[in-house]
Amino acid sequence: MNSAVWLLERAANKFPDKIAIEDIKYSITYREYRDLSRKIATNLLTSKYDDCPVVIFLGKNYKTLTSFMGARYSSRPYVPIDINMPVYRLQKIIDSLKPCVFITDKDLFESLKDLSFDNVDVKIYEELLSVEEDKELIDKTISEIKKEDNAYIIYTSGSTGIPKGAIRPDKGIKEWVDFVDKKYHFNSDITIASITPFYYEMSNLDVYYSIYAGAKLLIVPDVLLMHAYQLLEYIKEKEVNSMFSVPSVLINIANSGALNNIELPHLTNVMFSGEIMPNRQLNIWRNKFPDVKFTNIYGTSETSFICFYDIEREFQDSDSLPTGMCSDYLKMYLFKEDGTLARIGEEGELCLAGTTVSNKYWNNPENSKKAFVVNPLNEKEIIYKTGDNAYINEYGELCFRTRKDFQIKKHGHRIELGEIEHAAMNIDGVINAAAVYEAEKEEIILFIETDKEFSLHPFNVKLRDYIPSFMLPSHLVPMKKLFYKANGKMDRVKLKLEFDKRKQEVKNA
Amino acid sequence: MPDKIKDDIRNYIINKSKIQSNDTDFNDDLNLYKYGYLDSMDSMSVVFFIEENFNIKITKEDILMHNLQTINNIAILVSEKLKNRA
Repeated sequence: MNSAVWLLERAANKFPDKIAIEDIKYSITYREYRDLSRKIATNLLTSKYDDCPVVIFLGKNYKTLTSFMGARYSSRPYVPIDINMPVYRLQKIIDSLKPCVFITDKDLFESLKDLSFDNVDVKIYEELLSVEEDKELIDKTISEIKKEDNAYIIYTSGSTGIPKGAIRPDKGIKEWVDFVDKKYHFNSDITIASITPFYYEMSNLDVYYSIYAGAKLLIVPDVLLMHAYQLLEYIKEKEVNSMFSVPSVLINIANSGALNNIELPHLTNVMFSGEIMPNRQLNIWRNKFPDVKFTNIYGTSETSFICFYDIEREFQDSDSLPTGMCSDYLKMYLFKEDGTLARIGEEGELCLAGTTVSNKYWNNPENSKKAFVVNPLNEKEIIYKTGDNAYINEYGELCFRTRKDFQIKKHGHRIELGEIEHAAMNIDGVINAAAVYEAEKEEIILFIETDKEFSLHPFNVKLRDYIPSFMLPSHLVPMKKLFYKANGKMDRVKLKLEFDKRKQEVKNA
Repeated sequence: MPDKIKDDIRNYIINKSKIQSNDTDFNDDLNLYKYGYLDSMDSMSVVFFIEENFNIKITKEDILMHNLQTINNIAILVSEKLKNRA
């Protein structure tokens, strides 16, 4: 009874006729959720595959969620993929993932004609449902799922230009879902707004906690997230109780003034994660809804959810918001650069171990070796190096500083600047490339070494063949030669100064 | 559809994103968000602009029903709204 699929079995038995999922077009009950998932699993099990991963390429709707659970009922890990991903990048994922099944629908399949599917069986969602459920087979299969089995793989940006897949073991899900329930006690009358796309780890709190509680998961269309006023109208009309989002959505709402003219009597919980939430905008929310519980959550694809910090004391606009302490299913270490542990107030790199933590990336020994290392204090333990720098404040709470490496967070997206540089070098005429992040403005500046004339927008049109839209730079600086240090490494500080200089010249002109 | 509507929208986006006059990729059917001409943070400003400039109100149904990612689609929504008001 350890596996996460038992959560759905339980919900379907307890609340068969309750709405489980509502998307923009359809609603399904918990009974339908289970039955559709079992049908999909039957189909997957009657085809002879090994226990290899199942790609889900379906978008933000109930089909994706029933396919997730269908894969799990068949005892296989699933891999959610963004349907807007450039084919070039998707191909790299397929090549490294080596899935055996790829679930999509007819329309989306049309958009994939340039993708090569060697040894991958493409299944159209609707056709998966044409079989009758084999109850005996499914019951047997799920009773044999082990805690250590992989539940899903989430792909994130990789510095070498190839995205890397973080693996979540099944036991990891149960661990944090139990923890979250002890904290929040959601019941089956709750409506949870599902804001984060399902190809991000963050969305799993919505996906699994709603099933755990027997709550309704309301899938919010992506297009509404960019429009503060209309999004709040929607949340009000749908009587949403709990929402979990990247800070940029909440910041956008606070800055727009949309909170002034609306009441949300059903709202009880607002949670956020993915980057640092500024207190200036959070205070606008807290003043507007003094009875709502606000929670700052920290996590990564490699570790799942780590800290849940309920915000209770007052913060000044200029204070930085703590992340609280790690949940009890994790062990946390802050290593200073000299390899010793940081004391209170001292900064160190956050490293983690525990049941929810992966121990490698999928088929990627090179990146795995860098991120998952033996704990210098305990050679029997593997720790994950988050690349995030943090310190413990005088309240014993974890607080984050800027990132250690070339991995940035923009509007909640985790991006390796190296992936953008690799993509740029695919474009004819680009000899070398360096991407620099201006954190304050949340803008990526791309420097390219080239003899050709390039300007930003037409360059981005070419770049979009290789990387998703959220990775496209806001500024392009073509140069005859980039700046290098004596050791041959790119001099990013000098490049950034060059950008500032050019900007000033444009201003003065 | 009166071209004035489309011209206003196009000019607003050209100014906002500093699109160069010799940009041959830029056109009224281009997905502005996909190719980075606008980013997700710009979408509210675009809606504010059309609400103010054409004196209309954009509802959540408008956002959901119309794919406001190209100049043509934005212009179609604006003209429909103006027609319904008249």
